[in-house]
Amino acid sequence: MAQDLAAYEGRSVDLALLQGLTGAASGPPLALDLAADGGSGEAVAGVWKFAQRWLLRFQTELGSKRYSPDDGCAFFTRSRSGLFANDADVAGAFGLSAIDVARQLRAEETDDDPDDERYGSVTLQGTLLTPGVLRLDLKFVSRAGDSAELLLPVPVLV
Amino acid sequence: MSVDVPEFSDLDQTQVDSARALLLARLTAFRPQVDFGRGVLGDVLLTPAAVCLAGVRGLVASFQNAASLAQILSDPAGADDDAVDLLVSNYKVTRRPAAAATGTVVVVVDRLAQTSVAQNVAWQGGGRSFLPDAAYTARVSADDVVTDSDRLLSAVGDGTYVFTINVTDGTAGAAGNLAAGAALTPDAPPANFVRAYAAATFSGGQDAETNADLLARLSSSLAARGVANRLSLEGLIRAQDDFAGLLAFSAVGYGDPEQRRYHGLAALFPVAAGGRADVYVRFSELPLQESLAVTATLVGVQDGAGVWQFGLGRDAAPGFWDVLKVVQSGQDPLAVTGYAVSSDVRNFDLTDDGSGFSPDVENAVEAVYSKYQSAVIQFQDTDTATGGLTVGSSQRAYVALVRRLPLVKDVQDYLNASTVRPHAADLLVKAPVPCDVTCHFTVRGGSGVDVSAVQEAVARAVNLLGFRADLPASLVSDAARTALPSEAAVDSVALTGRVRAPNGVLTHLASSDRLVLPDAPEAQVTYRTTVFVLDPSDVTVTLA
Repeated sequence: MAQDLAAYEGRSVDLALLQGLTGAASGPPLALDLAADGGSGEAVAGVWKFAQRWLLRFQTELGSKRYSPDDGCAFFTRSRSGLFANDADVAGAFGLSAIDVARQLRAEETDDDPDDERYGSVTLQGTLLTPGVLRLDLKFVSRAGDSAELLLPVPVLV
Repeated sequence: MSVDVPEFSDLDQTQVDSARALLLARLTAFRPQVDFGRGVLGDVLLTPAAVCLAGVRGLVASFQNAASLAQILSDPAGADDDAVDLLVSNYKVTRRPAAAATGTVVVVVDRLAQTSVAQNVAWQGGGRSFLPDAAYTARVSADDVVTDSDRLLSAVGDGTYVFTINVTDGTAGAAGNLAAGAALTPDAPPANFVRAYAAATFSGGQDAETNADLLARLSSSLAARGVANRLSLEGLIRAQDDFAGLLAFSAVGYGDPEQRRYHGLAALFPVAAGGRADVYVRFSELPLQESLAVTATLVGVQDGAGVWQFGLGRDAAPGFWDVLKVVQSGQDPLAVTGYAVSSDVRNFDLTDDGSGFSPDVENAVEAVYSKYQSAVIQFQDTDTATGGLTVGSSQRAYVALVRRLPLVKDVQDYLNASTVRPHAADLLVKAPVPCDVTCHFTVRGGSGVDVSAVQEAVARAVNLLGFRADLPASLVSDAARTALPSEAAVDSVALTGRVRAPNGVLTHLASSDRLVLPDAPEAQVTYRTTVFVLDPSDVTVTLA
């Protein structure tokens, strides 16, 4: 979870982008907000830094970045195209996209990175598909074994 | 065009990657505890910043290249015009702007009646639009010609009448320099209008100087402007606003075998011993063709036809190359065959021109193609009956079509001035010796070939060669290809040339590989004195 910079002395931190990180799987859905009401500009490290990296890349549509055309995956492209009719569709698309994202994250990691910030695994624990919104129940496990869970809202075309 | 940050979508991937790596290294060194390379900072902030940095780097590189003479010379077309202007201004060189051509139009009508030409009615010719310099009125009687815009109708002899008007191109550019005889059509024809054509080659039209042109004359401009050597003399001439359009320059002097003015010293020194230089200048790609009214005297009768003679004083057509033909007064010399010149004897006239100086010229050949040359021209008029005429005294008006290059006299006058001419030498300015070229080639393949564009491209390439010893066929092919579709091929190039030496001797050349100029310094014909001249109409293209 996001904390003040002093809490991460000796670590390298990232800027907290995701608002609503509570550490609870039943917490409110995440929101992407660099400057949010009630607080922003916080830093993240450890498994949440890893989770944030994964989420950013997962939510980037493949080919949408002019000078980083290989970043991202096709999950959100499919969700906006109305291809998710049921949980099986979602699970299938997630599986394919997760492979792409894992490859990209591993490619930018080095042996100097702390294990609690390195890719271990990301599991889709459950889905809730409703008209207009898909919620993904995700569990992140770093290479060090630290875990974090969150709910990710995904807009879908029904 | 101004130097600005390039469009972000036009950046090269390697430029962005390089900028990203630089930012990452600098930011990491600045704040090691922040992970700038990945996640939010890496994906959302660093990459856009790298794009901006790459754009700025591109801007800086453009400025650096624009300010670097070496960079500009390696790619003149890619350099920013404004930056080049700033750079060359440090050397007192200014880009020549485009200028509009002006010329005289002959208007032919079929009635002897007062005719008006409105000033706001355009005349179309050569794809250009020309406007009269004034509202002209062609008068029937000389008594009615009062103002500068009045003209006198002259009878041609075939039931038509002619008068002239002066026009200016509505658009600046060299394309406005219509050839003599080019047809013009008024948007609203005046009364009794038959046709109109250019009386002589239009002049004054020039394109804005390109970066390549500007840099080409920068080298001479960088030199000290004086008369000490070829480079400085060329720089001196180019520095004058009136002579900024110099296309080619050459000089022969001390030690050059072409320099024949070593009077009295030939027995001692078989080469030029100094003190004299002949300066060859070319200011236009094609020669002017001027129609000069002359009065000829009957000097004989041969095979029943009168032999007529007239003189061309040194100021009639300074530095002229030759008289192409003679026609009856009132006729359009470009529309009729006319009479060929049967005798062309050159002479020289060193009468003081007011400068108090004349170059050391001892014979006519030395003065040929300079402002000091004069000539006596003879031709045979096969149409005018000689019965009742007296040899030696009968006179008749004709029109001579004369070919010359411009500004030869002007440059000589400039160099004659007491504040300019060297103390220890004299400079004699001449038009270069002409090698008139024709060429023929075949174009294979390609569709929609614009033959006139090909002719123009080839002629231009030849005329801008400057002083060089040969004209290779490959140059013709390369020039033609610039105006052809990419799939077209050029072959079977055939070149001919005709050199008119100062002594009047004609030398004919022919080759399918390269025309090589004679090396005849004793006749003042070498690569240092002679230029190739090619009219687009002498480029023959066969489409196969």
